[in-house]
Amino acid sequence: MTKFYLLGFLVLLLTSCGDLLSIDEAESALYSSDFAIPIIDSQVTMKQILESTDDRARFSVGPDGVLSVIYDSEALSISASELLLPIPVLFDVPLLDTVNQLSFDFVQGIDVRRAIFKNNSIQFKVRVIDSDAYQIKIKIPALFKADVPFEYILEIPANSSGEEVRSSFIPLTDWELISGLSEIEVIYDARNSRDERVMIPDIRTRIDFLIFSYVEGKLSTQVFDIAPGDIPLDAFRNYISGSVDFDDPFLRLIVDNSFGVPIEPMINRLNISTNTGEVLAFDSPLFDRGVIKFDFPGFDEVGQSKRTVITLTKENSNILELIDERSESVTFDIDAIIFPQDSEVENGYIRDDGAINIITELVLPLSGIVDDYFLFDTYPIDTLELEEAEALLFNLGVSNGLPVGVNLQVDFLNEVGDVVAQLFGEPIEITAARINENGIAVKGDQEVFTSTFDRQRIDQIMDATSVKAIIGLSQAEGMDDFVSILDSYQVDIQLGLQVKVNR
Amino acid sequence: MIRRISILFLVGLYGVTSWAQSFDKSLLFQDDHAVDILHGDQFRDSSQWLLYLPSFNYFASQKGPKFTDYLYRDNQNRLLIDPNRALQTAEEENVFQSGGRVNVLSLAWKKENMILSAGYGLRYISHVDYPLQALSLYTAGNALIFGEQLDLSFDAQVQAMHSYHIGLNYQIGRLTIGGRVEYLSGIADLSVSRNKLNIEVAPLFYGISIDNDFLLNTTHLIDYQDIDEIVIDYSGDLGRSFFSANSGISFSFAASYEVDDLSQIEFKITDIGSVSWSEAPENFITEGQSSFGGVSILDLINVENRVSYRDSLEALIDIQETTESYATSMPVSLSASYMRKVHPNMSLSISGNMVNFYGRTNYSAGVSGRYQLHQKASVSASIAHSPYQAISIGIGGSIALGPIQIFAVTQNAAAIFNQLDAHYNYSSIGATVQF
Repeated sequence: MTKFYLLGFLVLLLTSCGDLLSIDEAESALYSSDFAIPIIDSQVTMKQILESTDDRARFSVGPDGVLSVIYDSEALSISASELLLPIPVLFDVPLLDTVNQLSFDFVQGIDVRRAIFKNNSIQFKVRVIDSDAYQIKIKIPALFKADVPFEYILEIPANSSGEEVRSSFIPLTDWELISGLSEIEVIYDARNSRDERVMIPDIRTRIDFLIFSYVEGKLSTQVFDIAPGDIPLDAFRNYISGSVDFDDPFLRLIVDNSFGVPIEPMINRLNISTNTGEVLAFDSPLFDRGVIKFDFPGFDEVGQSKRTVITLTKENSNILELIDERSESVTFDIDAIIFPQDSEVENGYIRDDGAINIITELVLPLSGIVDDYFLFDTYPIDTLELEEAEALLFNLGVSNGLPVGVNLQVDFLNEVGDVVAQLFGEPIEITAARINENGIAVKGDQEVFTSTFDRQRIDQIMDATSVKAIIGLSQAEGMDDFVSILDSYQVDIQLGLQVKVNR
Repeated sequence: MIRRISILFLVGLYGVTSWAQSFDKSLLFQDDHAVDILHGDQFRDSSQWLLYLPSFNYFASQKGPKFTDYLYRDNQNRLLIDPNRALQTAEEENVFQSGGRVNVLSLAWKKENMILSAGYGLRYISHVDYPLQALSLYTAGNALIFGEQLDLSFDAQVQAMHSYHIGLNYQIGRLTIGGRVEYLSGIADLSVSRNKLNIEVAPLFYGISIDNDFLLNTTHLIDYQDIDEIVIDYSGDLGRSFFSANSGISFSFAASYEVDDLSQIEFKITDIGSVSWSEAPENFITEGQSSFGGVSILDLINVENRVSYRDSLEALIDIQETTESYATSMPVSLSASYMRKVHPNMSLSISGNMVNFYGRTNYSAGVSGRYQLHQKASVSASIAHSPYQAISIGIGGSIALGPIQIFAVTQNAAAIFNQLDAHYNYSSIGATVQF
């Protein structure tokens, strides 16, 4: 009986735990849940959208609030250091008399009347024929520093007969030469130990390089070659169909010049290349020789830079005929003519930090006529982990503040770019904002578009590696006039996703 | 991930419940010889020593889905966890409360009017209080109710500890008074000290708003990597937990009075105390109001940007982690009973019990009868009432095998083969030796 009781207790003890004893082997049952996930919540301006999609462009807002897209070229420049190259002087110049006129007229194209030395030095070499001691005082009257003319004393010790006695290298940096390079007066006064003035039979001077930080004088007419450039236009990169006619595009050449000389541009080439392979040339009366002159700093403005802006508009050029949805890039080749022949100015200057910088920019104010203009953009996506999803429901809400209607479809693309599914059964049509009596677009009510995916369609999008948004823009019916995109216009976009999950 | 958490949670709960005993021993059954504060009735003869052999007692109180409602076996006999089934029986407020004690070994020594006792055991406390909306959200997802704030606030305290106790009984005439002091060494804890969790999902585009003031403390029970990687598992060193830095003291008192030769009343109050958790404590806090309506479309269309919804959701919840020590209170229980012998072989008892824990007061009451079948064997039966189960029928019995006395009782016979399949239950099983 006792064993029976004990066995009974044991059975009771083990069975009373029910499934608890095997709960670590339990699996999760399958059941379905619905999860609602907010995907997008944005209130964005057209400027913000363009800034996110076009990293080549920058944007500005005109006084009328119209947003402009600006494409810049790389800055092209000529540096003065390219002109003021060091000129090697590979020989000693003998001082044949106590008063000498030396010529270092090696700088091409410049008739120098004033110059400032930079990073170079002068040296004197003397050879005497007896054992007497000498003191030689050398002066260059046209060479000044702090209003003090150049003077150097070279001591020749006794018993130097036959030896070449050299001075140290005397720095010429910042010494200012107030004369031409062809007639530099060098005077020396040599005294023997008895203080008698004598002629030195062999005295020479040496300047290794002629380098200047500033030269002034009359420059001859010269053409400086500036590398050609181009402006790629991303705005129409992913064009599909339709047309865009801009109301007032313009091309701007911005020249910053710190050369103190008159300069004219020489426009060799200024074209628009299209995505159909055409090359369309800009034409403007401004291109005629002598019409455009770059501003330059005067002698009292040394170190300053002067800006010249040349704008090719629909009034002074054929730009309106050139810029449209096919435009792919602006190409140009513009050189600089220094001291053009009919220049009224005789003298000029160049400082070693001087430069001519040329920036070309195409400005597209977003004002024009849009006619069923379709474009696309593609975005990579991570692999969609939707194995457990049974159904998806997308709710897209849009409040359009733009005066153009939007047609939207999103394609899901596989690795090779084939369309495997589409977000909407048919492209959705988002109504253009209403234009009020002041010509300003007024954001309309929110429009909601819904799309559902069953398991079959989910399987299709799971292969997607990117999505392609196809966006069509068109003006509202009856709106045939120009429309403008103001910076203040906004689009509200909200996207929510409901996922039914089997888990 | 959620499936894994649920499995781990249930396994963890199983782990602690399998040590089993109640917040305190019930006074309903005279056949329940589990270790208690007063030991006088356990001495059947002139023995001076009473050894409590390994035994356990526990109680469970469940409102809404029972523990077993989360489990079922399919036609392939696989055991499955299915919160969706539990949803069918869920109420606005759902509670699982349990507690128990494993008596590893205890000893009582009687000397004239005094009994000294000491012992060692393991205790657990388990309390989870969750709203219907939380369970609904977990099972049906958050696409449940739009545009309305869902209150997901829940309370929880799951902890286990070593208990070292000493006690003293003293009899003065018909009155016996006793006290017990327990030194508690915490093993693991998970407890919510601030519980506000509100969420609202907007219609149509499903923007999520939260309003939280939630603080969860844990010691050795949660491994939190990020919102997608939460593992509930014991991470402490059980060997070091016998005398850990997580320590506390609790006091219990009892008194019995023999009204006459046939009747006796007893009263006790237990677990006045707390545990301080300072060994590797972790605190997870989310507070304040925030919302997430989605990412900016600019981030999506700019290929240079990376968009992480997980980061956005983590930023929304903004869980802050700290390592501050904290304290948890023990559940204070009050019990009273009245016993009367109505026949030489039969006695009746009436008892009541009240527990205050987490601001919630639970009670139970019942009557029981004990019949002495034989000098060495008795059987008991009871009928009890609790808020979550109006009527439960209990049975029990004890048998003496020489100096050894074996006993087993349950207040819910219907759950005898599945102890957690009841809205209210108390069970106790064990043995004592006298010499």
